[in-house]
Amino acid sequence: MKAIINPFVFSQVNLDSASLTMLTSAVHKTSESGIYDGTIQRGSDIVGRFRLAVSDSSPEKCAVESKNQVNIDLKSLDLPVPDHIESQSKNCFQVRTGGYVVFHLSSGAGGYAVELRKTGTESSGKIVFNSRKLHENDHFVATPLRPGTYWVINVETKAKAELVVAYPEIGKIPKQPQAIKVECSQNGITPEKIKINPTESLLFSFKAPSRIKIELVKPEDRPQVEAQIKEDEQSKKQSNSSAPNQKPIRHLCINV
Amino acid sequence: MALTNNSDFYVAIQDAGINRLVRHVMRKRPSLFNYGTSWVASNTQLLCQSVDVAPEVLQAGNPLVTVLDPLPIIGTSLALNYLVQLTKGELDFHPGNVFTLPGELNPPLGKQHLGVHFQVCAGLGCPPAIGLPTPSRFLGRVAASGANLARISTNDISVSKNGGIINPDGGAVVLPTRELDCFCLDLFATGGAKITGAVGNQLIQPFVDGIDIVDIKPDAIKNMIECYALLALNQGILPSIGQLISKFAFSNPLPPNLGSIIFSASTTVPNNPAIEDDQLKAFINLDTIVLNLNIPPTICQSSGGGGGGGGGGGTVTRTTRGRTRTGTFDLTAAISAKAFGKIFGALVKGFHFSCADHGSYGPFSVKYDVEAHLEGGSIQLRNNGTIKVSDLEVKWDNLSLNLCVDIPKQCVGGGCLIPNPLDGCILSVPKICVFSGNPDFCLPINLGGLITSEVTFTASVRVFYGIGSGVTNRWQIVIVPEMPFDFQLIDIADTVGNLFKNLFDAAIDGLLGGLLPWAKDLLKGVFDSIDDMIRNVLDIPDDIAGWLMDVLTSLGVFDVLLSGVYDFLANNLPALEIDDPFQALDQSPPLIPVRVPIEFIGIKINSNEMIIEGDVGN
Repeated sequence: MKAIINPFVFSQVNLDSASLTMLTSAVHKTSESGIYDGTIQRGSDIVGRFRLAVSDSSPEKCAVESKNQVNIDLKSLDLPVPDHIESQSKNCFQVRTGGYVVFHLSSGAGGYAVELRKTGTESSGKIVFNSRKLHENDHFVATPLRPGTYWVINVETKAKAELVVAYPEIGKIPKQPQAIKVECSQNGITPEKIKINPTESLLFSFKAPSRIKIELVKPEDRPQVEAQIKEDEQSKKQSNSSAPNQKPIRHLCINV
Repeated sequence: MALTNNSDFYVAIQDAGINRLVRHVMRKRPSLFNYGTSWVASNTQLLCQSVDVAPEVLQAGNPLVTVLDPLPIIGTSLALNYLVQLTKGELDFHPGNVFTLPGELNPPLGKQHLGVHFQVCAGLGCPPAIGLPTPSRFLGRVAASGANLARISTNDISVSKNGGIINPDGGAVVLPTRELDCFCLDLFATGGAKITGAVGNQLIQPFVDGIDIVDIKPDAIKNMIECYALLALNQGILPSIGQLISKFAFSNPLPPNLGSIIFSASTTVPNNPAIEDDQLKAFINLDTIVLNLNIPPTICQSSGGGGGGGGGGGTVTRTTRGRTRTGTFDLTAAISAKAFGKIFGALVKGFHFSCADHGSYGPFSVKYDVEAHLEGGSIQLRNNGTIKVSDLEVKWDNLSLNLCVDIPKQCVGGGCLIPNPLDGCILSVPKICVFSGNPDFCLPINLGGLITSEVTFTASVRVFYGIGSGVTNRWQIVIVPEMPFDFQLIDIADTVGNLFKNLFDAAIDGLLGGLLPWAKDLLKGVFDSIDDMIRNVLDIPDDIAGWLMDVLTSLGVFDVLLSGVYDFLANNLPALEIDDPFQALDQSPPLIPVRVPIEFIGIKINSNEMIIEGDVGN
């Protein structure tokens, strides 16, 4: 098949917790068991619906295995309005009480917001999660890739922090990136200066209602590392050429 | 001591074999040995000795007697019918043991000498009573018309029932008779053999320089006859025999479509030809070998040749045939290891191979297109009867690969955000995938000229008796390769790794086309380097050249090459063939060709030479 690059991975430089993209995820830690209706919005439009069952046992109409975490791909739930009802009954996710619900995008431009409302007679319509305004039980995960300097802004509290994403260099990008924890409170963002390598994520947690924006202030560009690779190879070759040229003979014995 | 210590080739013909050959010629071309008038030729029951004639000679209506003019009676216009027959012919190479020489030739036969024995019979058609012919002795019609005794040409005459020649004008000149008065003499001669002619046209020429006719007196008559016989032998009979021997020794042994080999007599042996051990031995060098191989390329997907060889539109079924005779072989020929190497090496150069196919290797789907030929190598004849062909260089004229792959999704970031101190992960986020699916890209690479590889194999040379259907039976000497073939990758150019890396880099760049430099660097950086990207994503090790060889091996490229070499040797390379019967004297219309049965051919190989042995049939 022909290669198709997800262009938004590289084009969406500025990130916003209220507008989820491939480089961001919103996380909600469940606290009450029950059935929740989820709506996915782009702007003011509802573009998808789903159901979430929070329980230690699987409800009859939700056959998904109960786990500590459930990942919900918003892109896959972005459907035409006539399909929403069917989608809601089909797409029923389950997570154990106290487990995490991760809202993410596998592809596409994104720009989604998510709401969870608890169903039932007593608390029907109660919004327990809104990605536009994150609370204590929520997290926001951002993975800025574009090297450069950013402002991290909490729109709700007006707090700011500086973020520097290092330029990708061979050998310096961690194989198993660790998330950098960032705490947002009424008093500000901690730490105030953050430095990460590309592909490392920021894990935001909240002690006050928050909406996080990450905006590129100063991009960093360099000549491509290809030149450096070739340079490295050249020097490697030169060092090899001084060694005796003794190649093992590959010996195949083939019955015809 | 090797037979080819002093030459590239050695050919020895045993006297018994030549004598058998001479008998074949006498039976199949009797007119070479019987001479007489046309009346004698027409009345073969009157020959002094009956002639043993091959049936095919009679079927073809070939003459038994070469017609000569009648013997004129001096002082008259009369002539007589006569006949001269060589009824027995034998050769004896030192040490003499075929016949006993007369005392006048100082037996025993000297070193490096040959002996010749012919039985000569002669007959004269004398009238029953010696005297002037009388009309009563002529045929009635002739007598009635009166004899015209004028000498006339045989072209203008016709033959009467009793041999009297009738002039068309009514006259007769040849005296008629009802029988020939015959006598037979044994003629013995001794001589030697020499090589004559320029290189490329050399002949082994037997000759005689001493002769004796037993029991004939007076000496003057004896001398005259011996003089005549000496000339007849040296100018007529022995050159014919020499041509037969030379055909074995100097003729091009290759089928016409393969080219030619030019031989010359060795000058480094004391006697060439040598006459010893009952054999005439010739020592010959290989001067030039010109091969005009027109063998079509071996195509890997074709079914190849078929066993049997042969040609001419018929088929040949190979059988094996053992020797029935014992003792020294009629023909012994040897090829030195060096000369064999030259010839075999030249033949191997006729190999051209091409193959186009596809397969898969790991995540790669691969198309390949290869063309190759063989060069160099060394050939060793071994005492176990086999030939080892070593280090035959495979020249890859083209070795194009097109490696295409659907690389797995490339994802970054993600992973565990909140580890569980006890075990596992409390919260993780999915990775961010760069591609919407599994991207694909192709790497076209031509390794032609960048790989040094060699083939080593063992072969034996086997002799088959081919029974022809629609073609002549034939002895076939063929190369039979033995399994397994050994394929060695000697060297892969240093540039291969870089070539591949550059191609891969270009392919990645193509894949990431449109991305900003930082994005490309990010992706490359995620995988540390292009090398690591290759290793990690496509499971290609550091040794890219070695990995490519594994690809080629796995695809079976080397297998199909070796199959092609095998097919070429076993099926496509024309066999060295000797027709049975072998044509010793060409057709000379109306005379049919003289063909001699080849009873046996065998092969022996030792570290010095390859020896071919054969027997002439009865």
